[in-house]
Formats: sequence, C-alpha cells, structure tokens
Amino acid sequence: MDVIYPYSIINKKIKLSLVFFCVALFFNCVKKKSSEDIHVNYNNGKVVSVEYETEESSGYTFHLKQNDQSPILGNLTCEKGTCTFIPIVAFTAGQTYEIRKNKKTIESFTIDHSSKQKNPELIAIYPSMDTVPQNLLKMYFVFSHPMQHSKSALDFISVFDNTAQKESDIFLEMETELWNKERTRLTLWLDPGRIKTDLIPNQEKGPPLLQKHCYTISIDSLWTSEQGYPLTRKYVKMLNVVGKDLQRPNPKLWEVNIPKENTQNPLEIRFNEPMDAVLILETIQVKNREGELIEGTFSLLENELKIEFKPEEKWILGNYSVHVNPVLEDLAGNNLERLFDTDLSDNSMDTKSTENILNFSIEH
Amino acid sequence: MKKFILPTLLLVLSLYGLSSWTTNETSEDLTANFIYGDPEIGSINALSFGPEGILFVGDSENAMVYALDTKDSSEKGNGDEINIRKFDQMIAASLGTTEDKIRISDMAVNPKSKTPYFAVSMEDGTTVLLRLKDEALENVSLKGISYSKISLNDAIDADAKDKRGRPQRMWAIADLKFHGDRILVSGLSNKEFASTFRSIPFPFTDSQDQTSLEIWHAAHGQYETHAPIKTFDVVSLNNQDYLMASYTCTPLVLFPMAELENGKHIKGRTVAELGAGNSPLDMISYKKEGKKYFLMSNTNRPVMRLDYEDIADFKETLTKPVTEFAVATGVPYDNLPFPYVQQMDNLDDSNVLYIQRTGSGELILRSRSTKWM
Repeated sequence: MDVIYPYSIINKKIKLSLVFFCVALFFNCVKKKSSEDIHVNYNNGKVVSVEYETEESSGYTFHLKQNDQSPILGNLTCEKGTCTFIPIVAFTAGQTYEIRKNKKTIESFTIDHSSKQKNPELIAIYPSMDTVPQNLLKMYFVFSHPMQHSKSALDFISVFDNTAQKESDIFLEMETELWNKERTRLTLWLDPGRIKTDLIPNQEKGPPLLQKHCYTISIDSLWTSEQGYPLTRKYVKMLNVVGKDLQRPNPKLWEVNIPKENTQNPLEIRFNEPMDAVLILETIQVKNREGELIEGTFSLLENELKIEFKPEEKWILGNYSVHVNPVLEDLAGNNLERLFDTDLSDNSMDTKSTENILNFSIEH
Repeated sequence: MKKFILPTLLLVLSLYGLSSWTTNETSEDLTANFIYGDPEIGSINALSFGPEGILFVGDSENAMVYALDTKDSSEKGNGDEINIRKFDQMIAASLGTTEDKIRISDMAVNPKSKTPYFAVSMEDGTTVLLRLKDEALENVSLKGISYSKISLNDAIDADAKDKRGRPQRMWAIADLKFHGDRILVSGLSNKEFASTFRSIPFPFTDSQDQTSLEIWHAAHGQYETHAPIKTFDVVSLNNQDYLMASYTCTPLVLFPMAELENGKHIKGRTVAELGAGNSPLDMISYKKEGKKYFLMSNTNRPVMRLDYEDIADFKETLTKPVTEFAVATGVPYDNLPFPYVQQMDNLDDSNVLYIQRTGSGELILRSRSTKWM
C-alpha cells in the first residue's frame, strides 16, 4: 500500500432508476457515502485494496459489474467507520466493480489503467538468421517485459507456408510452456516427434518444416504483458528452409582469433554453423593452464555464428583453453555427443566422439 | 531370469514395508517438520494429493516442490455429484476478473475429503489455490499455511554451481505425483532437449536425500534420444509398479519402478501410440467390475481408455532390448466420447471429475460415474 491515488480513478455510474432506491436506503439504514469516498490503494501498480466509509460493518459484498455469480473472494474488515476490502488477487485494470448490500448495488467503481506501464516489445527471435535447416528443433522469443500467464503462447503465433500457400502448425503444443524465470523468454519446440525419422507423428504428418519452403511466422500484437498491455506492434519472422543439419557441433572446426599479450582484446571464436543462442552463452568457459576460470564477458554476434570473450583483466603470456559443455546444441538440437535424430543401425552416421576443449596460447 | 528375482523380492519387501508405514504414519508424523507462514510459491504448475490432506505443489518458477497441509482431512466416502457450467466464468468472477484473464493450470481431488482443488494462474502471474465445497469456491490461503518445501536445484547441477552468476538451469515441472512415500517429479528443460525425473522422499529431509536421473528410452527401431516426459502415472501390473510416461515425441512408455535408481539411465518400452499432433494431459486409473483401466485425456483426441490386462500382456518384452519396429499400434485403446477434456482426476472409487471444453465453447466441471467410462 505504498501509493494512494484518492478519488481520481472513481467513475460514478449509478443508474437513475436506482437513485430513488438509494435515497430510500439512505434513510432506512445505510448512510452511504458517495463514490468519491472510495479509496483505491495501489501497490506496485496493482490495486490491492479498496477502502470506503460506512456506519454499517457487515453485509457488504464485492462483485463484477452486472455479474450474478458469487461474490469476489477476499477479506473485508471494518473499523471505526471505515471498511477495507482486500481481494485475494488484485483488481483488474479497466474493470468496473460493484459494492452490494443485501444483493443490491449501492456503489460502483472502475479501475484505471496505470500510466506508468509500457507496451512490451519482442526484442529478439532466435535463430536470428532466416535461413534454417529443415530439422530446426526450437526457437526462442525474447520480450522486453514479462508476458501474461493466462493464455497459451500459441494463441498468438501463427505460421504460414508461403510456398504451399497454407497455414502450418509447426510448433509443439505444450501444456507446460517453457519460459525463463523472468517470463521474458519463451522456448518453442518444433514438433520433435515429426522431426525424428519414422516416428509415428513423422509418418503421419511429415516433418514440421519442408525443404525449399518459405514460412512466415506472425506474432500477434494482441499478446499482452503481465500488466495487460499489448505488444507495440505485430511482428513477423521469415524462415527459408534448406537441407537437414546432420552434423554435430565440432569445436575443432571453429576458427579462433587469439588476442595479444597485455591487452584486453576479445578472444574471437567463429563457428562453422549457427549455435543455439541461449545454450552457447552458458556452455562455454575459458580457463588458464592451471584450469582456473578466466573471468570475463561473452557476446554473441553475427547471427549466432560468432562469440567474443572479453576478459576482465589483461591477457598474460601462457596457455589457455576453451571448454565447451557437451550439451551445447546447434539449431537442429544436435549436441557434442549425439545427433538429435540418430539411426544407430547406420554406420555412416556421425557417431564419433567430439573433442570439447580448444587449446590456445597467448603470445607476444 | 535370476537377475530379476532379487529386485522383485526387494520390491515386495519394500511394498510390505510401505504399506505398514502408510497405515501407521499419522498426520502429526507427516507434518512434524512443517512450519506455518508464507511458502512464497511463485507458480503452481502441478498438483497431487498425498495422505491426510497433504497437497503437493510443483512450482516451475522457483524450481520447488511444496507440501501444504490443507487441514482438509475429514474422511468422506463419496464425492458430491458435480455439474457446473461456465466453470471458468465462475472462477473468474470469484477472482474479480474475466475468464480470458485466468488459466486453470491443474486440478486435484483430495482422496480423503473428496474435495476438488484448482490451481489458477492470473494474467499477471499471481497464483491462486481454490477448492470447491458445496458448489462454492473457497480460497486456500498461500500466504499463511502450514508447509514444508524442497528445492529441485539442490540436486547436483553444473549450472547451479556457476560462480559467475549465470542463470541456473530451469526445469519446467511437467508433472508431479505422490506414490508410496515419495514425490515423483518430471521436468522439462527450457534450453536443451532433455528431461529429468526425480524421486524425492517425503517427509522432506534436511539432507535432501533425493535421486536424480535422466531417462533414456529406445523406441521405434533403434531411434534413441533424451525425450522429455510430459505426464506420467504409476501403474501396478502383476504386483510390480511401473512408471507409465508420455513423451513429447513418443507416446506411452513403461519403465519398471524398481530400475529407477539414482543416476542410472534406463530404457523403457513403448506400449501405445497416439498419433501426430496430440499430447496426453492427465492420466488416472480406476476399477470397474473388478477390472482395472487406465484413462488418459489428450490435447487433440478424446479421452482414451486402456485395459490393464492389455498393458500387462506387454510384460514379456519390457525388459528386453528394443530391436524391432513392432510398436506401430501398441496396446489397443478405446476412444471415449469425451473430447477436449483439459483436467481429470478420480473423484472417488466410482466417479471421475473432469473439466471439459464443450462443442459450444463452454467450460464445464462435471463428475461422471466410471460405469459409463
């Protein structure tokens, strides 16, 4: 209850037909104050309680406007002529509520939208590149604000196959949506059962993406933030589908650009294919000859094809190594240890173990 | 065959011990380490009842499992007959909002009091726990309640030990069930394509003696992967417990519970196919005319019914390596005339409670006799 906005958001909406009733009520038992006497208390932009003055201390219930369902759940306490109602969840912006006594509406008020909040933006979609392998496994959608919890993400995402000129449902519908803790990054899987060769979903519906097809992913502007504010605009992402990626990430094929001694220039690593934008930043470490972690910052560049590591302190002469956690995946979900779609009976498949340590030396 | 005698014997002994434990353990024993206060639940992603009205809550946001003492432990033989139309509107109205701003994330019926509980997520992320008594919704306060909790991040996890403060690995809790004296939890990663399955003893201990393992499954002729589990149940076939798990890419797989050991990768056996574009939502078991059945609600298919005997017939192949493509049809199942069932649980011994989106778009909460299922 840190901020109080008295009066300003109250919208008096008493119907004329109720006036006589209210006057009668006034003279009978309830000395009702006008709606201007209702105080709406905010906490972090949410309406957490409502206060009003009355000489009656019981029998009041709160309802949605013109709603015959049971009263709103909450806690009503009255003391010294002031009643405070604390709903179990904050009142909804834009919604009108009624205070009733003996099933009769005696007051109503509307919750304003807070002017402090901003519309969310979709700030990144990974993979950044439009050209993707046919066996692309997942996509990330990164937002500027925490997004709403009540509706399914796929209610706001549609995919159109421009080549076949029809709608396409490439994403796996999940009851448990995969968000980060802050609810600003959503992970969507392309249906894994359709990607894997010869699984029943694959046989029945074919792969989610078809080679040489072009898709438009549309993100609806009606998608709202936690605070109920819609995206600033509709967003569109194109996918141009090429052949399957049937190779595991292989650090031995990465190009390493080694900085000079006594500088803080970044260590540059260029991959031979785009990497998973989230995993790459969490699966790579730089260590010195003693195996101690070098503190610094990684930056992902050039459509996830390059990463830079800027150390907190200057490089000193000696041997170093880049360690890659084998769970790192490429766009097709292949990690350092296995292909996502593996036919163990096919000896020609890529099944050799992959080195996950790259050694380098800082020189003069 | 010999190698299965010992595990089976151990299982029988443990089941015997378990049954005596269950009957002897009192509510006071189970809640001895509970504290009263605000457990600070971030989100409710899964609900499951244990004994004595103890409700287990899976919280993906905080990677926690909570045990809540609902104090709702009075014994009731049968559940009330329930038929509520526009149930989402009823919940929304009681929370002072409209049905487009709420989501019923899970439902569980207290097997002792037969009271249904609902986890509801608001648009802004606020989580509410409601229960239905005498056709009226009650709030179960999550701010002042007797509880204990355990962190899923306390398991050995490279990311959790990251000194540079990078984000910990996030496991979205896909499903949670109480079985015997343990909480079973399946989780999905929001990054790599992987899953965990954990078995946590209850009451929770200070040492957090929990097992953690990843499950591998082999299916469809030699295609093998880490496949995330979406939902699961424990079924008893021929006096042995099996984990019946549904996967993101392969439908129903059985694992012998006795083989779920810490850190061990085990292989399961596909027993049923559901077809493309469909995901199981809830699984329950029930008895009808002396026979046991297994019910499963789905995103894009009607409720499916499997006969326990049909599942048991697969036992000969369960422990053998999967070497042939012989599971295209799997265990036969019946489609019951209940499409779009979003939540489902046993109401009592002879009734099922479910939430269904009807053809007209209405969301109903309804009980139904298993006689008709």
